[in-house]
Amino acid sequence: MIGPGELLRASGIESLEQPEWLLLVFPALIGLVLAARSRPPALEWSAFAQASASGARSWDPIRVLGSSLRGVALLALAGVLAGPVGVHRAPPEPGYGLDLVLAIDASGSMRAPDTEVAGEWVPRLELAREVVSRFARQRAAVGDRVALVVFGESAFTQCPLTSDGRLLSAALQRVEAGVAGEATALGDALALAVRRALGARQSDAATEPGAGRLVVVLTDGKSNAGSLSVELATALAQGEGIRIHTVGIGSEIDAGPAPRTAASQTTERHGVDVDALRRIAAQTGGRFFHARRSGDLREVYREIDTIERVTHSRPARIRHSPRPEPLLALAGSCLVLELAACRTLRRRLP
Amino acid sequence: MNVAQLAHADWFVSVCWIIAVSAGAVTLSRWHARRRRELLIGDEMPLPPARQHVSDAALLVALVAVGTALLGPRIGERRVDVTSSGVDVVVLIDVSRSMDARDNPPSRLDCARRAVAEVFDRLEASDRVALAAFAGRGVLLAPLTPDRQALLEWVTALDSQLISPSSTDLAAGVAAATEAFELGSERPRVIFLVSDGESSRRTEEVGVGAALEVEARVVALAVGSEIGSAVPDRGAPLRDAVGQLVVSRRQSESLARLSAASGGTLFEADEWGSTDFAAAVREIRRDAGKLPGQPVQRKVRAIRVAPFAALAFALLLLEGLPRKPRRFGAPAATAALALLALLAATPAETEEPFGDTTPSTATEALESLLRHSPRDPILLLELGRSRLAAGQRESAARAFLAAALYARDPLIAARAHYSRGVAELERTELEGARDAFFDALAFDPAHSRARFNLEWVLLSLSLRPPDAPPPTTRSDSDETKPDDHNEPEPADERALPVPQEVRDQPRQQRRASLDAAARARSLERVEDDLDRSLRAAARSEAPERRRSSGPSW
Repeated sequence: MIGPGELLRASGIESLEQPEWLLLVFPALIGLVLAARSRPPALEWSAFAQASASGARSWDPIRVLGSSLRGVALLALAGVLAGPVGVHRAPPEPGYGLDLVLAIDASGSMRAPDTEVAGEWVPRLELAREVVSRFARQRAAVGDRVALVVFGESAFTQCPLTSDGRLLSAALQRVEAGVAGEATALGDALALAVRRALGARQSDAATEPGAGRLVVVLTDGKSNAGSLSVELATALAQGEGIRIHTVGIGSEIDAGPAPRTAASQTTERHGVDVDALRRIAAQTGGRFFHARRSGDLREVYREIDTIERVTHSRPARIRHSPRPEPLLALAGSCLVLELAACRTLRRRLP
Repeated sequence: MNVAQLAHADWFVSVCWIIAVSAGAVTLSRWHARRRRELLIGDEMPLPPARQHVSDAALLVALVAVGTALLGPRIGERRVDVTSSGVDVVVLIDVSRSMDARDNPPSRLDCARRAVAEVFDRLEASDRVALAAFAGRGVLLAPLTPDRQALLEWVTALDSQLISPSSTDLAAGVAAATEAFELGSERPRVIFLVSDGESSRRTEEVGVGAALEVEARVVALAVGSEIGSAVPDRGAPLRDAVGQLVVSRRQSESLARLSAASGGTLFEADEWGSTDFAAAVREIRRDAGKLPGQPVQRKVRAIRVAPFAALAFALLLLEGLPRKPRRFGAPAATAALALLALLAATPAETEEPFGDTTPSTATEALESLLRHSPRDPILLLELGRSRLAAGQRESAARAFLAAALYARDPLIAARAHYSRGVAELERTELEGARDAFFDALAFDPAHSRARFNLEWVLLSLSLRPPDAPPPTTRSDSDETKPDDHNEPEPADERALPVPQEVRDQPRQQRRASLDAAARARSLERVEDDLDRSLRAAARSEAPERRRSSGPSW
């Protein structure tokens, strides 16, 4: 048996602001009792046997239905007047968590359809998009700010630091393999990520006690383009106190330099530069993760999510907001039903 | 009343339908009954009692009242207390072809870029900005972010070929801009619109509804000129289908309508594309407090449900009473109404449902005390100290400055300035610290610690290389702090979650190999190849609409 309290809570109403208005239930009850006591207009018929044989009853189901609907409507309106409020969580004030920059390799090799998702072989980038998107949304939801940097032969900001998980996902969905060219400019990407991570620096004092800045870079190749070297970019991050976690997908790098011919861009398979990624992570105080099979990527981001948990000094704020809609809808539908039952299908005689 | 003033404007049509069908059914059945009576009794039919009309009408009026309440009519304003945390500004830029016109040299779009830069310069640190652009459709390019530098780079990369079709649909632009506002957020919302107002379609719709739905004010800047100018098109002036020269003029009416309806203001650019940017930013930040964390009273439009619900309740109650009241019928009804009136007279909303949680830290306690006496220098001084202890150096400096400004006693003012200097030192803002110590000495020339610190600051300033930017809080540079016991701990020891293996390394090894100046130079060199991402964003479909993103007052 569900009580009225559970029903209200299920409809999003947590409490009443002015419960004294519920006293209106008493005049409503008095009115209903009075209405019930008044005898309805009726045809008086002295031959009882004939009347019962023709199906006449001493009580009228439509009349009973009408008064109960009226009673529920009055009760609901009394509830509305009592000021029902619901609870909602205002988004946490941004800037008290991590400032995270997620750099994603969108070079041509990310098209390699070597990832199995639900029995189908899909490009690496598709899985990366899904995994990074979930990670970004989770982090934004707990009050971190996330930025996206996409790189290929050049690097660009796909999304500046924000705590809007929905728009972050939308921005990620726009990342296509080859959108930034076929090569891999890891140095440019790292430096741009550092710059974006510092984006809130000129910003308010409220952001200063933030839990720090972090870059997570995802790549499946070796740096072979760009204007800044990986070493310089790493030194930049180190100097600014930004940690870099590196995530490599695919098998390790082959012996010898990676083939770079224009004709074999999509078939170029030169593996991930594990040593470089490990060096970047070690130098900046981050960690290197290797997803040998691209299916491991989910685990990697789950682990990063776990090790980078920070307790936020400002939890989500609980707010109360008026929520009269469920009760109003109840009152309105009772009224419409009563009109239909008692004023159209069955008219009351004067 | 405008439908847009309703909290649930999307239910409007359904509610209207339900009421109309109910009223129609009641009328129809009444007419049907009348016909039957006519057939049964003929012309001598007595008129039905007026009471019956009244009773039907009462039920229908009650239904209308409930329906109105359900739609959430916004009537009047009420004040709510919120904690100030800056404003959310969506910059909405017109990138239609007419923005290439050169009546504001070099072009209207360039003026728009400059205007955005000027506004960004004057915004407070706690404000967030987003970027949207529109031509034939609206596109949200970047979500709300504290990273104004990034957005400025995006704004610079905007051009009139970004969005096709290149016509002008202001309403679509406003709708796209409102997508940036976060669900349930209580920060004041502003759309800063830069456009020439010229619309290629003769449409009345300028996006008032979309702006009102999320409670955003529109502050508009109209660029262009009344005289107008030709629109360049691949080197030659644009001509229409019959070869006539197309002249684009500023049309402020639609912008004025939009800004007025949403509670904002329209600014008009002069021939150089400039306007009173300080006033514009004042207008943008109208509802924001001066300091983050400060309590502000905001006027919001109030959703009134209770009067309609009370009317419906009274009508339903009275209609249900028996036709011929028995002995105590009338007194009971009177008593019920008296109770209703009594309750209605009690002041509603005696307290705001948004009261802050109980202050737990010293800072919050001080802030709540300061709400009552905002100009108490001692309280401000203490607030600054507690903020400094919490590591909030910039806001601490502001609190000290406020304390100094409100202090009547020169010794207290000197102390406040001195503390501000220490806070500035902690932020490694040497110039700020120098000024603060000078101020402290002006109030109290005998302040020996201020004298000592000032000397040290002046020395470090003279030793600093002239081209180096001021070092940041995060810098690991080898400055020696003055050996002053009043100095709080240096900031570098702040605990960051560092993996164990790194923490164990000797500190010297982790020291950066680049100094701050070299880092800044290298960061300047980083190229952001934004064009690709802008084009991708402009091509894409809009993300699924938020259900409703108005704050829940």
